[in-house]
Amino acid sequence: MRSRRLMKVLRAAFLLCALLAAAAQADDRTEIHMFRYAGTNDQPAMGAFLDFRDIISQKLLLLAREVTEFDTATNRLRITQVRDQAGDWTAFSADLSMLEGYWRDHGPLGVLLGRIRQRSDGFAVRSSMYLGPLQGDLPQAFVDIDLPIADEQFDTTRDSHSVVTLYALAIETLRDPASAGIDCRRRDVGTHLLNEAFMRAQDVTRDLPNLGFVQDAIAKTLERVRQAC
Amino acid sequence: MTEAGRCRVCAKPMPQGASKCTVCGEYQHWSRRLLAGINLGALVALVPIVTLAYAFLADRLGHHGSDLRATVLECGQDRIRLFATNQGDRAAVMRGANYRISTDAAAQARPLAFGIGDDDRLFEGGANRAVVLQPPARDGIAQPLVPFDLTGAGCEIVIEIDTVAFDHSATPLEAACPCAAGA
Repeated sequence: MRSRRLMKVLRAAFLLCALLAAAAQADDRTEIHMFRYAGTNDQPAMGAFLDFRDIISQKLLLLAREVTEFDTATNRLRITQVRDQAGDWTAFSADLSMLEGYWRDHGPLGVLLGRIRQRSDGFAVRSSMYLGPLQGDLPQAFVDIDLPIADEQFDTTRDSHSVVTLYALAIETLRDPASAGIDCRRRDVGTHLLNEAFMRAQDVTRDLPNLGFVQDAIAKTLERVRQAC
Repeated sequence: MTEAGRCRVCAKPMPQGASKCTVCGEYQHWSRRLLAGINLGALVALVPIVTLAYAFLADRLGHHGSDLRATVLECGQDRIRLFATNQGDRAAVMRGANYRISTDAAAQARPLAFGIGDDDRLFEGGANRAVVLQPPARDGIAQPLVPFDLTGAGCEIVIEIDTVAFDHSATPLEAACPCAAGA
């Protein structure tokens, strides 16, 4: 009777170890998954949205070049379009709770959904970036961020999308999946990424003061890392 | 040629060295006698009968069945492409499919949906075609073959296709491939 119980415990321990080992083997999250935005039904809006996708792709390339010396995983930063089974770029049509499962199974760093709108000076996007457990010290797993679709956006990473991406990357680096706490073995890389995010957040907040909460979250995480490690 | 100058068939005297008897008309050499006795017309008439008999016997006594085989062409992030061939001479159908992931400690069988029409799941004898298998979509979104936490080194996908032969016997078909890079 006792040996049978012991066998059960050992089997459970083995399963747990195997699961943890599998989790530890999983690749880094380096992709931003993008749903087709709302408001892209007519040709000009769709054209602007494709420009937005190219801007984000370019920003991720730039970001990778700027921070790759700290974290080689950033070399794999890229945009992936969310597709249906026919392979078409799909819009987000489910409820928000579905995003939790999506984030877990598909392995993105963040999920972008939002809408495109026309302003007097051209098109702009309002994105909701879902970070799931990578929200860190942000008040919500969703961050609402704006971006004008303009040529100058191609050449800079001093914008809200880049800041939030960098913050998610830092949290992914520091995250200990087993304890949900901070993994101090990667403290140096994580701190570098947080510092890079903080510098960019300062620039962004100067123009967009409503994004001060992102800067606050970065500062808070930096402080937590300092205390924990 | 006879020694005594007599016919080998009717034993009547005949000229020395003659190849054919002058009395009964039979050839003296056995092989020529045999050939002369064959009715060519009857032989020709026998050909279709023998052919039909052979076809009938071959059909009754020969082995028949379906022999469905599959080769994995590609294991992508959200779909598997196979090339399937029925090497038998009877039809077979792919009824369903599922897969397991080597890094899944629970070895859970996960369903696969066919990305081809129902008619294309039937393979006549000798037929071959490409087959697409996908995890069922959720909320209109294609799902990854391997959930993110199961990705990594050593990850392999084992596909099991449930096939039904012409005689309605179920035959499992198995194929494997490494998980897609970055899957």
